[in-house]
Amino acid sequence: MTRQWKYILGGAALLLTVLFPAVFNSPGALHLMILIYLYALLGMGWNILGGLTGQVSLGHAVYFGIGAYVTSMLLVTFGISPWLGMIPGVAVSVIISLIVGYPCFRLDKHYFVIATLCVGEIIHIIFLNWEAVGGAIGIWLPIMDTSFSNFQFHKTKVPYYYIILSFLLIVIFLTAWIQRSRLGFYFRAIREDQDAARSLGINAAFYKMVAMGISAAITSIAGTFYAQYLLFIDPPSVFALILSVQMCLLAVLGGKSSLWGPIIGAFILIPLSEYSREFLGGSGQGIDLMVYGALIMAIAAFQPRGLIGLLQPRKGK
Amino acid sequence: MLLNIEQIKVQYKDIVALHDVSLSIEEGQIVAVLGANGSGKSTLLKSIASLLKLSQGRILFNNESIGNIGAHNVVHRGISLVPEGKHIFAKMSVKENLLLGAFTQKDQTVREEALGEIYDLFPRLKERLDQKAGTLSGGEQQMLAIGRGLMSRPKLLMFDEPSLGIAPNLVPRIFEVIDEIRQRGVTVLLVEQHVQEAMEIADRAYILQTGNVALEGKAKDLLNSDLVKKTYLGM
Repeated sequence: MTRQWKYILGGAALLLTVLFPAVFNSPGALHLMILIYLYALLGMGWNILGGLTGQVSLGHAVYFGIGAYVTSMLLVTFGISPWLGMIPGVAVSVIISLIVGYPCFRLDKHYFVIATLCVGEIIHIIFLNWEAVGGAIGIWLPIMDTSFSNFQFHKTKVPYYYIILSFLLIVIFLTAWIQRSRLGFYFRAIREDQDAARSLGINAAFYKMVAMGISAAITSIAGTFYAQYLLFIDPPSVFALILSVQMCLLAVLGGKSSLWGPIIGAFILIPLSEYSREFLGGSGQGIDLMVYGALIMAIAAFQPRGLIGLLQPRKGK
Repeated sequence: MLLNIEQIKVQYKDIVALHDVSLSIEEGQIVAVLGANGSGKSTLLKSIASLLKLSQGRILFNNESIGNIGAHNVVHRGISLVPEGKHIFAKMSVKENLLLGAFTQKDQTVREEALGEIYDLFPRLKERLDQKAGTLSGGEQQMLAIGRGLMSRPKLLMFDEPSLGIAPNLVPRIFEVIDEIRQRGVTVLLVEQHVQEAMEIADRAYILQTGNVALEGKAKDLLNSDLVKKTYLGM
C-alpha cells in the first residue's frame, strides 16, 4: 500500500467513526461500538507488553479493576471527579504493575504467564472479600447530573462514544510513536531474543518494566471508563480471569505486535460475543468462548501473525 | 592487563561449571580458550559478560571490578560478546540488527562511523541492509553477529565459537576477520573448537578441562605440547 492510500484509508476510517453516531444513533448500535472501542483499548494496552515486548500476561484484568475501583472509591467517598480520579487510578495501577513485574520478569516465558495469572486471581479474591470497597456486593456509583466534568451522560450514549473513541485514538498514536521510537526498537529486541539484547547492553529488566507500566496505565484508564459507563462495578465484572484472557485473545486474533491487530480483533470478537449471547440467550452461555477457542486454533494453525497477516501479505524486507 | 580474571567459581545451582579459573589478557592480544564440550568455555564468556553470577573470585577490566555488575553495564564498560549460535534478531533487518549493537552509543556521528567501519569489513552486509537477518546465509549471519558486536566500539570483543555451523569453506574467512579486527586495535577473547586455526592467530591460549585451567601459555608452545596434540589434534 502506498503512503497516499494509507492516508486516504485512515482518513476515511476516522471520518466514518466520527460520523457514526450521526447515522446510527440507536442505543444498541452505540453500545456495541462503545464496547468494541473499549476492548480495542484493552487489547492495545495489553499489546504494549504482550505484543511489542513479547511478555504475555494473563493478569491484566488487575489494572482494569484497579482503575475502576480507585476512581469509583474516590468518587463515592470524597466526591472526586473521575477525570481527576483517573490519575491516582493510573498511578496505583502502574505501581502495582511494577511490584508484580519485578519478581515475575525474572521468570521464563511460561512461568511468567502463570505468575501473572496467579496474581490476577489473588487480587480478584482480595477484592471479593474486602468489605471496605464493597466486597462481593460491589459499588454503585452515585447518579449525578449530566455533565462532562461528572463523566455522566444520561440522555444519550453519544458522549461516551466520543470519549472512548478519543482514548482509543490517543493510544493508537502513542503505540505508533512507540513502534517508531528507540523504545519500540528495544522492546522488539527483547521480544526476539532477550539474551542477545542483554549482551548488547540493553537493560532488559528495565525496559520490560517500562512496557509493563505503559500497558498497565492504558488498561487502568479503560477501567475508569468502564466504571463510569456502567455506574456499577463488582469484582467479577472487572477482575475476572476471562477479561484478562479476552485482552490477550483479541490481540492475538487480530495480530499481536502490530498496531491495528487488537482493533481488528475487537471488531470481530465483540460483535461475535454480543450477538451469540443475544441469539442463544441463557442456554447459549459460553458459546462465544467456544467460538473464541476455535478461532484461536485456526489462527495458530493458518495465520500465526493474526488476521492482520491476511491484509499485509509478507513484507519485502 | 586489560582483563584479569582472578580465581572465579561459577555454578548453575549445585553444579559447578568453573571451579577456580584465572585468566588474563593484555591489550591488543588474541587469547584463545580451548576445551571439550562442557569444559566451561561458554560459561567463562557468559561470566565475563555478567550474564551469569560469580560465586567466588573477581573479574577486573582496566583494574575495575566488573563481576556481577549486570550484562548491560558490562557493554558500557567496553566489552562485547558475539554469542554462540549467532543469536541475531532474525525478524529484524540487517541494519536494525547493527543499530541495536550501537545501543550504548548515543552519539549519531559515532554510530555512523561505526557503521562505516563495518561496511568496510563486511561489504556483503552493506548490500543486504534492508533484508531480514533471518534470510541471510549462515556465514553472513555470523558476520552480522560480529558486526553487531563491533557496533558498540568495544575494547574487548569475545567470540563464542564463531565457526560453529558455518560452511567449512567459510571458516578460514572467519579467522581472517578476527585477525583483522585485532589489527584495528580491538582485543579478542576467542572460544573455539577449531584448535589449529584458533592457535594460529592467537597470541596466548588456555586449555580448560572440566572447569579448570589445564594448561596455559603462548599459543605456539601449546600447539606443540603433547596434551594438545593428543587430545585436540589427534596426532
